[in-house]
Amino acid sequence: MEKIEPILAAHPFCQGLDPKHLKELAACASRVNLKAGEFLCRAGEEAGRFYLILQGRVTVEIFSARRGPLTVQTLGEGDTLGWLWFQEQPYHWHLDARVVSLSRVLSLEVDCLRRKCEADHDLGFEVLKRYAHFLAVRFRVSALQLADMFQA
Amino acid sequence: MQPEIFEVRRNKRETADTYTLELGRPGGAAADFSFAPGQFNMLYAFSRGEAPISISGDPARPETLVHTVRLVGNVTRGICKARPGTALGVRGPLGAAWPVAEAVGHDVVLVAGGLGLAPLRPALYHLLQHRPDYGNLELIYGARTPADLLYRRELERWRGRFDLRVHVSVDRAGADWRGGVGVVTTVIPRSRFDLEHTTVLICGPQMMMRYTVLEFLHQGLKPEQIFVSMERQMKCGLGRCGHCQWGPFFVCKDGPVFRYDAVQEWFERREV
Repeated sequence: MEKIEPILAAHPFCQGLDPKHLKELAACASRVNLKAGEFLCRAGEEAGRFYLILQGRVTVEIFSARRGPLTVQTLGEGDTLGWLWFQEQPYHWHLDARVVSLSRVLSLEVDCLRRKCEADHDLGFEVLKRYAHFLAVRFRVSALQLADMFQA
Repeated sequence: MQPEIFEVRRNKRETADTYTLELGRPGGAAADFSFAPGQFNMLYAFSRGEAPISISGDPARPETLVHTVRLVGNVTRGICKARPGTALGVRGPLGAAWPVAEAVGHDVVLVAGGLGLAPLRPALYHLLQHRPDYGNLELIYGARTPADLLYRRELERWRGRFDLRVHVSVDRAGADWRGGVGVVTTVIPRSRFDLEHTTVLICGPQMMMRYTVLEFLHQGLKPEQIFVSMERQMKCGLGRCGHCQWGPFFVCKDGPVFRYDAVQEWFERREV
């Protein structure tokens, strides 16, 4: 069976991580293959998994009873999806993520990651540095989407 | 500079508020109109007035003059609603062009936002007609929704080519949209280009251009590798009336296409 560390190391979220930290992350990770139509997460569910997308295409949707699913983002190879929470109470998803073409992802168990980061603060800092960057990019992109750049 | 009279041959509705007009000379004669990609004309709708409109057709086909126009006011209403046979006045071609000759030997990335694809289309035609002269070609096109995309059929044709990578992304979409969703800047890291030998051509709303430029600079490109097409209120089109003055530049005469390093200081100023 293919080892998870080299796959983790190749993902932009993990680039530059120390091998011992990759090994720690790998202990929380599993490989998942998903078919079109399957969901990575649904609004309201506990956000127990953090996903690193290796291949395929995933749409992030907000569901409205009147308008149906509204796609707000598409994700593909090298992208990241999820919440990392470091307190006892888990976050919950507020969006749906639907697979639109055969996708391969690495699924990281957040509670496991949280415990490892708690036990090794160097690992925790590395994970948080990357997560802060991911959140900053998402924040900027969301602000641009809200600004409606193409308004006539 | 006096307007010359042209006649509308065809008027095609592209989106809810955007139309593409094909013009020729009166009496069925060819337009016989040469221009460089990125230039614009002042189009005159009789009894309404004149507006600057980018030329969106193929520079290798001077027999037809093509403009894509968004209906935003009285003058553009006159142009957009012109039926075949309607006479329009044309002054041009005016302004600076995209640097397609200088980009020979480079990868070229074209980034269009909304109606910004219209002034970039002639450059893309040129690049595709001279394909062996260029490296990797990327077209990144962003719009608000799928219904706002211009040239849908042509986009599909371009997407089917093996020598051009096309990335289309909209800000929001329904479940039936199969393309990308997300702001256009998120597509840039996925495009392929050689940092040392790349020319970037950008046209779209100024906010979109600003963040697109920042993303390319963040990727490692230099300001002199980036070109932007500016839009300002124009009147004479000759740099005399001052309507389109932008710092030390007249957009109609010195632009609309500018190398970014030349205008960087003004691009980031809020007062101008």
